[in-house]
Amino acid sequence: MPFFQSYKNSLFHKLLLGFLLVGFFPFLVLYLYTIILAEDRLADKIISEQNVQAQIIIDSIDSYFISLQKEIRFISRLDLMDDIIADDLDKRISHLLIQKKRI
Amino acid sequence: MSKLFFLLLLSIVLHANEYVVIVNKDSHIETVSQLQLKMLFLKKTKIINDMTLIPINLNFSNNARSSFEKNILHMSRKKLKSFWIKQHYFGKRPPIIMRSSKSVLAFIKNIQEAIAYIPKKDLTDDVKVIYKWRD
Repeated sequence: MPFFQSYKNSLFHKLLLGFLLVGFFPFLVLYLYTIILAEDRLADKIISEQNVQAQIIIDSIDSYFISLQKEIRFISRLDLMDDIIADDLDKRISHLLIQKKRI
Repeated sequence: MSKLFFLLLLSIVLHANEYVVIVNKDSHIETVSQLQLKMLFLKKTKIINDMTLIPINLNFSNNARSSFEKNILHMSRKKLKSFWIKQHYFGKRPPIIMRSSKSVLAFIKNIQEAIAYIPKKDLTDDVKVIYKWRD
């Protein structure tokens, strides 16, 4: 009992207890929360962000394919494509495709 | 003097360019008139002797084309241009253009309904001639 009394009365001990109450214990609580609860949430958030980025890339690839398809459709409807029947002897189709490739 | 004139005339005639209108060898068309050619290449008709035909033009810069426009169509380049602009609004487009006689011949060999013109010097045995003209 005298030990506890001296313990209560010492300023150092009071300050130490106050420090522990204000600083250490909240830290401990937050630390435990981070480890136990936040880990799953962080992982979920990262996964959802990756999914969003993947979806953006998928959309851009889709739109690229759609524009390619439109271009192929347009080129196939050109009168120039009739040169296929003559085996493109004048190389007009080849030149057009080479120019398209350069673009 | 008259002999000289005759020789000069003969030389001009001999050097005059000759052109032929050709179709596929298996085509049923044997001959065609100038008027029919004009109607066909101005796309006023597609059918001659119960056969649907596909006219093929040569490139603008080709002499055969210029001769064809002058002697068969009887239309200047300018007049033809305005003709096709008007036809565009009716949904009609000018005939397919091939750049060379070689590609014209290849097209004719592959498409039975095709009809085209080339200089006589480029003619080969695997097509049929149905009309001739000279400059």
